[in-house]
Amino acid sequence: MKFTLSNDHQKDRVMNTLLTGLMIFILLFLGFDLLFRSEQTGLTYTTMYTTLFGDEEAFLDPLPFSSLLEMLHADTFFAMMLLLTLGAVYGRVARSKIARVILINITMLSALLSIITPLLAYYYSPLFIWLWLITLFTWHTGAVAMSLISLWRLHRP
Amino acid sequence: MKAAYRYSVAYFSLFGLILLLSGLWLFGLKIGFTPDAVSAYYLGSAEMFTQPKSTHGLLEIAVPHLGAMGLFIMVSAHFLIFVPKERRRHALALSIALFTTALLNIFAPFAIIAGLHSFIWIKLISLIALQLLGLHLLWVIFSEAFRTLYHHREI
Repeated sequence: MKFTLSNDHQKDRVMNTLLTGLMIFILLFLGFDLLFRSEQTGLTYTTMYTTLFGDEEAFLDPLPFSSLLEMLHADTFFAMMLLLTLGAVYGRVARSKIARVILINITMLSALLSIITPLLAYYYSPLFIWLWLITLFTWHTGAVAMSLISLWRLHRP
Repeated sequence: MKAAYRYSVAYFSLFGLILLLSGLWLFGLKIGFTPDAVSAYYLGSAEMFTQPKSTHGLLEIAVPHLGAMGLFIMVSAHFLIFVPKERRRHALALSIALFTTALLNIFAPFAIIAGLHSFIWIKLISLIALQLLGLHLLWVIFSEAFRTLYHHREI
């Protein structure tokens, strides 16, 4: 990845344009990912609970465990690729060293937890759905912040 | 390598660990780890009332895995450029072994439904080899990212 080696992305017009495009795509992905998840599992405690455990009164079946695992398997791949690339760009262009390490750690850690917590909710306690919700929104918010800061740093006057 | 990037690499290897383990778990859940279970899954079983897998069904699994596994191995293994020079040969051998086992793992089911029953063993062996090599690769890049973080103590 050349952008991890190149120092001045503002002066390199081609790299600047490429990274701007990438940041816009990542922002769109993050937004539409939440939209898709709102249809797939829901984005509230109640809808997530119903997805995992079903609802006898509404005649809704619980999600088969293999389907949940398939979903998490695919989510892991997308999250790891997206966050590695985003982390590489953000780590290069962000100014404050402490802030960038903190933001990268919070975003990555919450993304990791958002993959593990559905399994904990399924096996141990539905209370982990709260943690699933919180970590899901935290890593999306962190990634949006990293993208916006990177965009700002790429185009600052 | 900057500290922020080292953190990203360390987390990437943890994500990779989850990816490998969830893949293994899915394999155990859907297929099973014995030659009989692999045979029953791909060739069908009268006892379990399952049909043999079609080429179309196998392609649905193989196509996304070809893209994803190729990308995963390349992205993970490219961090090996940060390992010391004396370990470069090891890095090269590891990369080649990973690509080879991944290809065998993806294409073995096609050989199984074509009647080459020995590929049931190749499917199982390549799966285990891929997991072990993948774990080894992730450990190398994780420990390298952490070692340099610890020694440089830069934020």
